[in-house]
Formats: sequence, C-alpha cells, structure tokens
Amino acid sequence: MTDCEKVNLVLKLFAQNGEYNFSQENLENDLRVTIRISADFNDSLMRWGQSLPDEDFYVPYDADYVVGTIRSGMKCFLNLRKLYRCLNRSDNVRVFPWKLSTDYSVMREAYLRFFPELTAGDLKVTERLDCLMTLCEIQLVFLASNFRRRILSQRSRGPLDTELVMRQLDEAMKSVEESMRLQRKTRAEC
Amino acid sequence: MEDNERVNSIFELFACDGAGELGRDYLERNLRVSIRISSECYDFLTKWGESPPGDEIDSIITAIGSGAEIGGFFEAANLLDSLDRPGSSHRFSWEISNEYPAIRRAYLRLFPELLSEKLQTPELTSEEQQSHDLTISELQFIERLDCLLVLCEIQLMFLASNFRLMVGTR
Repeated sequence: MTDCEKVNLVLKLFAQNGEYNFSQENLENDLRVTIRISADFNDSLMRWGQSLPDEDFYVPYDADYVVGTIRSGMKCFLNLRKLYRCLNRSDNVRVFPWKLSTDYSVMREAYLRFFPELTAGDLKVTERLDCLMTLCEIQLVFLASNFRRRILSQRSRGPLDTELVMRQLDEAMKSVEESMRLQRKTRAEC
Repeated sequence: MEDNERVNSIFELFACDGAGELGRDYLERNLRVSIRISSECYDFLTKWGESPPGDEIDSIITAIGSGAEIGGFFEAANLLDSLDRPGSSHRFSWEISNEYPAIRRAYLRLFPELLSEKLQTPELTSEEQQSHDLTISELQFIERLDCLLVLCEIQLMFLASNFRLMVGTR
C-alpha cells in the first residue's frame, strides 16, 4: 500500500463512524496532516532498522529531517489532542499501552506495533483516535530526545576527512536520485 | 523577579556577550521566544510544585508547543550548531527522563544559571585554545546558549510526557 493510500484509508475509517464530525475543514486538515506525518515516521523507522543513522554520514530523511517533520505537525497534534480530551472514551476496549521511554528501540518497537492498528477495521472512532494519539506521543518523545542530537554529536568530531566527505557526497547524490525516482513513482500512483 | 523583567535580564546577558558578533536584532529574532517560554515554564514549576492542575499543564503545553513549532527552540539550536565552539563546553546536563519530579528538579536546578552574570566557562585545553581563539564573552555566550537548549529539551520532554494526560489525573 502506498503512503497516499494508507492516509486515505485511515481518513475513510475515521469518517465511517458518524459519531464525531471530522468533516469540518480545519479538523479534517489536522487529522490528515497528523496521519501523514505518522505514516512518514513509520516509514523512517522501517528504513532505519534497529539504530538511528550515523550523524556524521549524510543520509536522506535522517533523524534531523524527521524531527523537522514532526515539529511541522505540532499544531495539528495539539489541536487533535484538544478534541481527544473532550471525547468520552470510557467505553473503549482496545488500548495502546507502552512504557514511555527515550530508548530508540523501545520507541520503535511500540510504534511499529501500534501503527498497523490505525487501519484495523474493527476500531471505534475513539479507539482509533487513541491509537493515533499514542503514535503522536511516541513521535514527540522522539523529537524531545533528538532535539540536541546534532549539537552533541559535533563534540566528538575530529578533523575534516576530505576523502570521506567526497565519498559521502557521492553516496548522497545517488540517494537523492533514488528518492526523486521514488517520489515521481508515488505521485504517478496517487 | 517579574516574568517580563526576568526575560529582559536574560536577554541582556545574551546580548552583552554575543551581540557584537551576531547583532542584537539577530539575537532578538532567534532567542527571545525561547527565553520567554523557558521563563514561563520556570514560573509554572515554582508556582505549582509537585502537583500542577490539569488546566495549567494544558496551558504550558500549548506554550511549549508553539515554541517548538514556530521556531524558537530550533532557531536557538541552529544558532549553537553554527558557532565555532570547543568540545569541552556543554557542562549542563540532566539525566533525560519522562518522570515529572525528575524533570522539575533538573529544570529548577539549571534555570538560575541563565541569570548568572558571570557564568563559569570551561577550562580549554591548549589545543582548543589554539584552534578556537574565543574570548571569555564568547565562551559565556556559548555556555548560556547551551544551558537554554538543555532547558528547551526538558520542556519538550515535559510536553511529550503530558501529551495524553487528561485534566485532573495528576
């Protein structure tokens, strides 16, 4: 399933249950942006695997890039949080527990476990929103624990290795070409 | 000290050490928001102690969220990242945690450093002294900015750990 299809499917699942009106333009936009960013984060965790990319190597969509994306959705996350707190969730059966942790592998395991639940067909709207809020929470913990990452990593940097930089630039060019090719493909599919 | 007065004092300390090189307007654009929100957060933690009410948590979370979203925190981080600085700076640290008492303790310990007129600067190695050639003012500016960023980090952790908290549950 492509990213676009995933986002549209989750939006459709939210809309199916008419108990809450997500069709207001602002709310739908907040929901769409939040789902979109959550899907991007899921893709990043899948791509990175068990450890974050090394800061000293150029990697497209690295931790800094992802922190920037999460940050851009902050307002939408907080708007949805306001709605979430107003809803009656006492009938919720499905819950999405995780022990809040700044350990990347714990965050990753919880996120990859919960993200597929967003597209589960049998969730109530409040349960699905609960799932989405848990995913936002994990993203915010990721943002907080990576806020000073680049600054701290510079501490241990040694003298500039020009050969290494040239090799990295070469790899970066190849990655950019590959990601542009993927973007063109995704756009064509959407 | 009133919040506004405190924000101005901290800003002046930054400007005094760093305005020559960077320009006052530049510092105003990049640091004022972070200083203001950090000061609000300090008031919140001192006023409400160990058990802040839910609506107050909401209000400070919105403020921190705006600081993270509209720039503020990240502009300050980019500024420090762009500065030539020795590796031995960054003496401000905290054991990263999502527990409210630990967050509060670390914040209340570090915030007064922002207001120190003569901030202790790190001992540079002779190699660092040769390669960086920084004045005491420049070192103080770097240290103060590092302290501000640690406070921003603590605020972001507070935001994350209270994101799903309902009013009245604390």
